[in-house]
Amino acid sequence: MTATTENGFAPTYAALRKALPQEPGWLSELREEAFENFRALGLPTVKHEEWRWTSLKSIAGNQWAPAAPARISEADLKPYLLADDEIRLVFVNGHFAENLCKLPPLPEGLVVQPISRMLDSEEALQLKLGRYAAYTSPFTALNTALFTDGAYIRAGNGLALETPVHVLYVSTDGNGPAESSTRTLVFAGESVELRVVESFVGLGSAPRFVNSVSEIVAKGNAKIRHAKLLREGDATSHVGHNEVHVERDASVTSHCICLGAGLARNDVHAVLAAEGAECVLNGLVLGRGSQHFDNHIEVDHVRPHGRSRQLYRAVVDDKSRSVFSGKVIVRPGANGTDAQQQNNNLLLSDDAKVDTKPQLEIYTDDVKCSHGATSGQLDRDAIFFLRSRGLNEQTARNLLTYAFANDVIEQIRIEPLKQALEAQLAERFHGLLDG
Amino acid sequence: MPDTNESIEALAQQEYKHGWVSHVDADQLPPGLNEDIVHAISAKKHEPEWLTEWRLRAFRHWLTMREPEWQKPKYPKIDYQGIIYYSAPKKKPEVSSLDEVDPELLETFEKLGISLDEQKRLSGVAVDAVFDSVSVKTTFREELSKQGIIFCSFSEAVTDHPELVKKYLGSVVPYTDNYFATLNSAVFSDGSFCYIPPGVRCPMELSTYFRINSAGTGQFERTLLIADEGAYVSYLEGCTAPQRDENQLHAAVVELVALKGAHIKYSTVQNWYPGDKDGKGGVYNFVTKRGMASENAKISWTQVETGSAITWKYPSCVLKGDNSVGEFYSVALTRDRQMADTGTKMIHIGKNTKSTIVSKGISAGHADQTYRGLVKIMKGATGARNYSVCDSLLIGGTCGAHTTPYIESANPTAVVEHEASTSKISDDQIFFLRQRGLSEEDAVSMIVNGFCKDVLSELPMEFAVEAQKLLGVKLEGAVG
Repeated sequence: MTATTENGFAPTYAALRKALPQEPGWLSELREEAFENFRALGLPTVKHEEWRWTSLKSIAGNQWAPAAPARISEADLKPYLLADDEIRLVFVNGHFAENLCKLPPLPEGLVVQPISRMLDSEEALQLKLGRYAAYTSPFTALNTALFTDGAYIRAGNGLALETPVHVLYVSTDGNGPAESSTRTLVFAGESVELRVVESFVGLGSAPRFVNSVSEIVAKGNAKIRHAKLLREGDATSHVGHNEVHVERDASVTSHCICLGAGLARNDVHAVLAAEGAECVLNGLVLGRGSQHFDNHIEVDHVRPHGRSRQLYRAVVDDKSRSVFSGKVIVRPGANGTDAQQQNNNLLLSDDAKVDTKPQLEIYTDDVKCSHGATSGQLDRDAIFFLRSRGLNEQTARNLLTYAFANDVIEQIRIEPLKQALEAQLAERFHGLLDG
Repeated sequence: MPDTNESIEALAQQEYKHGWVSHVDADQLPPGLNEDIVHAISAKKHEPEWLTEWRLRAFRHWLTMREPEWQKPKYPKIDYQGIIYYSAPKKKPEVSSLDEVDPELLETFEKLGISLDEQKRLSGVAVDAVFDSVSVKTTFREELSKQGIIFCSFSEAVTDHPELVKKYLGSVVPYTDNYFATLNSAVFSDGSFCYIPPGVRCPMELSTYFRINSAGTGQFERTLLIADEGAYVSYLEGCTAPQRDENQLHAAVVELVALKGAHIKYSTVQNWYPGDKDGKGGVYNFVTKRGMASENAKISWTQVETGSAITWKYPSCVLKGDNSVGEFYSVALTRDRQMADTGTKMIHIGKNTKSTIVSKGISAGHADQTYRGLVKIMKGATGARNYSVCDSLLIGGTCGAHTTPYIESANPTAVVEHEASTSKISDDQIFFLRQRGLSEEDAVSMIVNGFCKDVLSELPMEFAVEAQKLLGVKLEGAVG
């Protein structure tokens, strides 16, 4: 870590504090403390083990002003929507955009609101921002200090909802480098079933730094289906942290789909905090141009009989890079843990690069843990087979690439998202499918 | 299961078999490290000026380096000024036959079960025994020299074959490589040197036994093995150390050079003193081992690591030439408070290079073990292929086993596969063997031997037997 870069954010912080409306005291204190932490930690460099394959020069090298509120039209947003009946929250440059939201009458027990409107309500105390995502890592600390707004989603005990809650974080074009930080809080009470999609959308080509933190908590027997969809602009550096907390017999599935961003780093930290907790973390990277995607996963089995699954796949073309680091920790006494981790990478061009580090850290003996990682190109035998069936080479390749990527999409249990992604995937290889 | 607990007790109290000290007068330098000591070591060994210079360059570089801290096993700071960097038996035996060797030394080897005499007669293995820092006796050298094979101690090689040493020393592990390799480059005392001429297939297994004897001496040996074009050699290395309470540092460097079409097979059975059951004492085994493979060459590392308080090493292959092959087979067994952080690095540079990694870890008691490996495919390594498998077996609920493979691929035609699993010995397996009449211990031993079979089968015959016995002894009663 360096001690020089953190000052780059001091003006950002000062500007933000000035611009923000009157905030409750506890939040100001939280921000102060978090920024102090960030100041002490500084930005990580490639010398830091967890960042060895991802350089943050694009973030450290710029002076970031807080992104100003902006207005966009519904038409701008249209391509990024999932379904007409979705429950929708929209934030533009980190600020709540009420005119673009869609909040039909919600079932009892469900709260979907921007955080900024929750601060003064009674529930503010229950928010306990930062309770799960500790601000001891540099970017979470920075986010806690700088976040302007975000989604607050809470479902009371027993609620089951098929309709996804879609939260869109949009960055617009603008002059000069701008930063926006947002926070998402998802709480599912006992036996709740909830679907949440976070979309990060970039509409412009100006340099952006987007820092997001999500805290996802599933109480006993709850089921949360979560997905994060990255469609940022090429000049955007995106850093996200996803904190997942799973309680007894609860299950959280989280997909991270990386389609756009110049540089994107996604951290997922999942804690299986009680017996029988389950966590499925999947991801897909489709890299092209000079995109750089870095997915960092840590699953922490604290209590017995937990189950975790990871499937991360990357298809990298042109000069793009994909980094994967996944760690499964099994704590002493977490017997009966069943953990699997899989990372597969497909390199399509000579200049693409893949770095992967799947890890197991196990401190008890009664476990079933495995991991696998592969990197390579398409199977020649499979291509040959398809060609022998009359497909031309390019079509065969595209079909196989599509199938490779679709294995991840298939596992998504949020129907509209799954359909949208399948269509997008087909389109990506469509021109070639014709050929 | 009260039975098992008792046998664990029994095992825990079982003494380290090789824990005796030979009282041979040693010629020592005072403890500490500075340029004078480096000069003194060099002078004691009558080294040419270029080597002294090389040592000094390494020492000066070492002063600018920081001790690494990224490894999993943590240890108290080593006092580098408290180590004796040179210790030689006072009577340097100038012998032509075994009879003239100091009888106490011979006894030492007999206790170790590697009586030179025995080995010479029965197994036809040439042994270069390193007692503390000076190579005592090299057997079969004459027979080897008929084929042009040079197998001698490092210091002899410096005197007799300076051109070879000068050419290859530091060519695989430069003196700037890492903290411990640099320290070794500055103060290495002795080691083995081996050169196989072009096209020669070494007719016997070459072998070195290392022992750390005097208290407070670090062992810094250096092995340089060169297989010229088309040559073949199989090299064995075995290590034991007597019981001492202070931790002893063992920072060796092994360099393998496999020229065009050469094949080097390097096998290690490491059984340094692991410390007592509370983790007091034991050897720190921080070794740098690396091989450089030219076109069509093959380097194969096989290791059985059962000793040392901390084992921290990554025997590596740099696959520089096209079509070169690297292999790594490893069994690591840790128990009590032992810690191991070991694995390999395969650097694919040439086209169609291949590597295989098979690592088996067994962790029992309070031991903690990490597999850490790197497979790196450079941009030009078209058609490179790697296959890795790392399995861990956990015995008891208090041990740890970790797997950290790094894969970096920059060539789309390269295929890299890694798989790993961690589990305990299943109750079903034990039950099955028990109902066939095997005792629990035999059952465990059988399962573990089966678990390690892929690696043990890579060892030369003599070592395979020793390794299997070693695993059996180490595992006695370790199951509950």
